[in-house]
Amino acid sequence: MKKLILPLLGCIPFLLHAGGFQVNLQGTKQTGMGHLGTSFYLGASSAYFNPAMMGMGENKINIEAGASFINSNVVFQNQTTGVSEQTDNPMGTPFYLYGTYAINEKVTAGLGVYTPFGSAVDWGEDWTGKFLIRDIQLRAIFIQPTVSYKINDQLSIGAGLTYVLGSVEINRAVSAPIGNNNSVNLQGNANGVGFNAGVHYAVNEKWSVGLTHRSQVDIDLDEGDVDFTMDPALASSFPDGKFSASLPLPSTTTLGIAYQATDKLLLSVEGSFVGWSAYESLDFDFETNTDRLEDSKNPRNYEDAIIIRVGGQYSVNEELDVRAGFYYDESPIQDEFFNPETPSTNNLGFTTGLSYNVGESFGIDASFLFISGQERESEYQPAGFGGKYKAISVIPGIGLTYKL
Amino acid sequence: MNLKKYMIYLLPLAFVACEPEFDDVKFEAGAADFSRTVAVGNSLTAGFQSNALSAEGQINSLPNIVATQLKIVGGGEFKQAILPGETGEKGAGVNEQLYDPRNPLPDFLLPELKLVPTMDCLGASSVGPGFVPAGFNQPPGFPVPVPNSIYSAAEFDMNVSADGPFNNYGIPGAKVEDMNSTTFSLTNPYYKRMAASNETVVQAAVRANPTFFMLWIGNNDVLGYATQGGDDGTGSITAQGTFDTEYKKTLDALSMTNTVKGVVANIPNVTSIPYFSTIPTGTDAITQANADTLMLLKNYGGYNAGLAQAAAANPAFQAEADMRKIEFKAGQLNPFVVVDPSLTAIPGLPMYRQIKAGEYLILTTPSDSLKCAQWGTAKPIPGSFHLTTAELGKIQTAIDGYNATIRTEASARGLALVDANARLKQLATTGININGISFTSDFITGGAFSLDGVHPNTRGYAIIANDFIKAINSTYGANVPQVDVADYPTYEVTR
Repeated sequence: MKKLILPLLGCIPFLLHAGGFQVNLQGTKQTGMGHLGTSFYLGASSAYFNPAMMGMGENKINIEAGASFINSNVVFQNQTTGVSEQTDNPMGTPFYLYGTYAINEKVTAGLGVYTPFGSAVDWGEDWTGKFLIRDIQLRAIFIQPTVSYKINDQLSIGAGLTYVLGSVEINRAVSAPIGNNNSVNLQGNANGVGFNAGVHYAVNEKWSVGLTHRSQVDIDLDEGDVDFTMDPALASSFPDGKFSASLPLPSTTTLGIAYQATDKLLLSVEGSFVGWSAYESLDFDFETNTDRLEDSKNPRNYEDAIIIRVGGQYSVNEELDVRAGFYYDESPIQDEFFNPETPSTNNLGFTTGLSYNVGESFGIDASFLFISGQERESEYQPAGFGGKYKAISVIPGIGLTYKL
Repeated sequence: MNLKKYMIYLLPLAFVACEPEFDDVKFEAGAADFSRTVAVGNSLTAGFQSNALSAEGQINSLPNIVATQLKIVGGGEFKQAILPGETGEKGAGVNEQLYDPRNPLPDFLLPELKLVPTMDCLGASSVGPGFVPAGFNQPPGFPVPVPNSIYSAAEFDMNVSADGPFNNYGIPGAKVEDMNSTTFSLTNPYYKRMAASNETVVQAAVRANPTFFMLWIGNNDVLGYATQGGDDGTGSITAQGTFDTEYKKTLDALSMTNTVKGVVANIPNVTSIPYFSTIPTGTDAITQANADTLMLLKNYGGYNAGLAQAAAANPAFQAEADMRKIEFKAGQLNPFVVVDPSLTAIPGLPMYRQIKAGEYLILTTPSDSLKCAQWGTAKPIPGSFHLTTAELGKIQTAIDGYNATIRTEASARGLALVDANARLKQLATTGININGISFTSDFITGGAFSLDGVHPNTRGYAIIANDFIKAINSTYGANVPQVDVADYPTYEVTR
């Protein structure tokens, strides 16, 4: 399994577009309506959105797969020098693959592979913040075997274990009093484990409620490679070697309510609480320390954040469902600790999408997400770097559904 | 397939913009007019760094950095009397009597210090200040003047006043009283080069008909005293009364009796600079056997006994005797022994004591002598390398007095004031982080000072230039853009 997945990691950069480095694009149908999906069933993707609902499909086998194409740019402006700079980020392509199998009336098994965290930010070689970050690629693939159990017609529960494969690569310039071309490259692979659990309750024909908790996953990187390019006068003080680091992928708790307004119209609202306060510091522990190379401690001091989503789905006819939604995604980053490595603004997300069903068992899903990253004026005080930031992301997505 | 007709739902998406943008920041001159800006001062205004004034240093001079930014809001050309030669490599500097005051050699030139590979007396290799080409390195320790054959003095001596008036009248070595001196052009080689007949510096600056002025003067009024080890050297501190009179006179002239706007900077405490904070004042590398040898063979034991005897004869001497008592022990930091001519003369006893906490050895103290020739232990260090508590007190008093005058005058005249003292103190205590670069006042590694340990390097000047711009902005309702300090290069090792 690991052998198969790791080459994949190498070619899939995910672009930051949600709070922190969270990426909320785990189902094309859900994305089309504000990334809602905790309290109503839309297919195999419930393995992610609420494992309790996996058995709610009419078919024995459900499969969904898809990907999104993130075009995102962040602009920075230093108000004192007047300099404006913009990222040149590679396109991010988060993907998902879900399959569920109804073992019997009560029990359904499923597997999800998805990418809820990641970041690809490239500010360029020579921008003014190069001593903080030039570019970063952070990737995480979650693999989640899951089972759901239908307690009665109204109440279901479900849970899965998540095994996470992660990788990170960071490039930045090194500020030293000697030499004008000092830089460092840090990279490594890591993994971690967590869980995803949910409960779903159908109140009556019209109303239903869902509650999920996706646990925090600590990604521990033990054998990263650090590669310094330093002036010869400093080279012996900055030896290449190994480093270790740990990065928390925060927990998310979501409560959703769905309302089947008419036969054709479904409305829903959700609130998520993301435990970003776990991300206190990004520390690099270098295996070899010297008088000039101490372990690098970089305070992050993130705060817990909320996401509010509203959205709806309208069934035009047997063939077509259309969707729209909106969400507000709060940045977890305080104004004093805003590092351009993760330029996360408060985001307004506007989404739309559709599904087109070809016959009984096959469907095509499309979504479109526009994210307006609200302007903010922030500083990373530990490095004395700040200014105004704002971001825009345009993210089309495509998905396939198969039912048997 | 009806798929095509449903595509219309996605049509609005084509109109969504993908590129976030900011409007340009609006920069403006506010109430000030920068069309003819003139800078007046000393080496810090001239662009002096790493022991020399060079064309490169002039281009990166504090007022030129500021003036370049002023141009964005309507500032005019900023003409400097650029030295011949591309860089300071050939030694465009002239002996400022910074390094060897007891041996003034006015016909000798000082080349710029470069960062070069070094090896100390213990064989440890590192990098440090030195001359290029290496043949002009003068081991051990710090540079001394080299013959002017390395550089054409005639070229330097050529008077360029016909190209004036200039916008930069920063004259290395200038004190406040030199601003209004008609004989300064005879004694200062830098000003000699720029001056028309016996015009004073201030007269020359006023002839440029300034609409705005920058004045940073007074540093040398105490710096020369400090860099030459205080009372043991030839430098002196300008009397407060003289400073006040000359400073006001200078401001009256530059401001056309307060009709021309300007910016002034105060005087940093000299002890914030690496010239004073770099050389260790003691050693912990002493074994008990070393310590015993020192006390016995170097007769510090006998010296201590002599002090005790003198104190017994004269109880009033007891406090000084305690202070002068010399002690070496293993396992502790042993302050170095110095000669302090201010001590009471006792027949038969030398003027020795150990360095007290808070006192300094200056950067020109020969490091190799400390490391390998038993300076400070077996051989007391000459007082000219040592700043005593009393000398530091005089320096502090002078700077406090000068700065009070500068603050009062700036405020009374409505001028912008740069608190350079606070900035350098911050550098020396907490350090400063700018765009991911950490600056401190540490020698070489701190990133802000040049290789002479006194003057800022280019990035250091850029930091201060931003302070000038901030002061101008807040006083005159202007919005002049600051510079990105990281745009200026730091040192490369010359091999």
